[in-house]
Amino acid sequence: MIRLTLGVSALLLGVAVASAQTAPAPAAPATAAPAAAPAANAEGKTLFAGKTCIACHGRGGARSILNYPDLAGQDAKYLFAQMTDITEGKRVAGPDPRGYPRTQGMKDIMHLVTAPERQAIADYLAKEPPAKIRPLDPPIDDARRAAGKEAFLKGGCVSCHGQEGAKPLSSYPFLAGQKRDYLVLQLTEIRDGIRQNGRVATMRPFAKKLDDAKIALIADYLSQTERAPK
Amino acid sequence: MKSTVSLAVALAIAAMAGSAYAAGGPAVDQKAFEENKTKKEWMSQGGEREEALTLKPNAANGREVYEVCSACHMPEGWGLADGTFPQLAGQHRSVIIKQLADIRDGHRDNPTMYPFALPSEIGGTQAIADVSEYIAVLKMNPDNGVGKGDDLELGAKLYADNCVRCHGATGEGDAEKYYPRIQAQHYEYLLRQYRWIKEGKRRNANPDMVEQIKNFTDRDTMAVLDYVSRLKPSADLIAPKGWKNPDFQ
Repeated sequence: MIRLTLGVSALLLGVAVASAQTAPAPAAPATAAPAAAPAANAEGKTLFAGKTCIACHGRGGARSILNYPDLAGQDAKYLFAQMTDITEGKRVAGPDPRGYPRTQGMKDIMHLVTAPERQAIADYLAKEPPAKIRPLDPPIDDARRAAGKEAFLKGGCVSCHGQEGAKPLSSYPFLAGQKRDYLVLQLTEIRDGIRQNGRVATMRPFAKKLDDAKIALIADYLSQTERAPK
Repeated sequence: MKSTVSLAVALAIAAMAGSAYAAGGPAVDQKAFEENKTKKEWMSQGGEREEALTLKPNAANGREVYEVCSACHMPEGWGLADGTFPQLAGQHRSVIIKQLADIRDGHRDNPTMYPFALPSEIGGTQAIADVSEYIAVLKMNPDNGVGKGDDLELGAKLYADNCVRCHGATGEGDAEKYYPRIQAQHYEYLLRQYRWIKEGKRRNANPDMVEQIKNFTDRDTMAVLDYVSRLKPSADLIAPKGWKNPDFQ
């Protein structure tokens, strides 16, 4: 049975690759994508691998490399919006250690993924089990965890991202269990006006009140907080 | 205020740099990378290229390393016909080594690929020696992306007058001189690289080529690259249609 499933996914992957190879030139804007019927979850999984997302974000969207975000279990509307904003250049990021904007590598390949395909990938990822907590070195102690929780509450974060960053409003991101370095970068760049897409304008006044130490504190806390079972 | 902000970002980046490179150890340090990024240099000295060429390749480890690459370049090494990812299969080992070393030490910009070129992801200089061997003997795409095919006579003439001296009669390149095999490469990829070479964006280009193509018009460019994309390698280098790499099945 397992073998059969594998065979089927290999076949599906083959189809996805074949369609990518015959895709029109990259100049076609994403909005020109044909409106397809909502894709099944299996299709999202196949697309996630076939369109190369897996290379950076890891198997199931839960084993991302470097400081890239884990996507497994994230809000589907949020995922779709971010993919679209990166594709269209609305979500930008500061430079990585080598001087390339961190969203650039993804922007450069997103012409491969049509809007319906982005939707299928978002729906697939939203249903995947969230990544395992990535322990900090040195580990977070109880005092710091409590201080992080307090900063999160006082910062007003809870009104959109929910208790412990684990019960966000629809279309807002889950923060609990996200990678620490990614959280630090996002908070910093939202505060500093580098990341401006989507509803970031709503968040910026809150982020502006945080200094680097507070950002590190909140990120430490959130990254070590388990997501409640859905 | 602005300087405080930039400082904060710089510190955050510095912190990231520390954590990102701790795992595998950098092939090249940050300072050298930043220096290299300011250079236009076809044949850099003292980098990993020369060292990798002296190492004995381990093809079995090459297959392991290639798994990461296969997410974009495909298990067969055929890339995508729309040119987003080039065909690597059949490329000269020396060329693969040079390009990998150049991307990883800052001589060639490639924001999408460079995370995967890091030692923390694929390993050190030995890994470059290994994966280049694996790629070089992969059979090539029988069905690569080509141009419109409406100006091939001009393309043939331009190729004979300008390109054949280095890239060879059928675009086979020259392994010893690091000249790439360009036959049967995807047209759109050829077009992008060619433009970047002409504009100076591809900083590790051969200056002789930059000089050679500086007066090419858009029509010349499309004609000659369409011609190149249709050049065929010898039959023993090409895979049967629909071949799947059994190493990744």
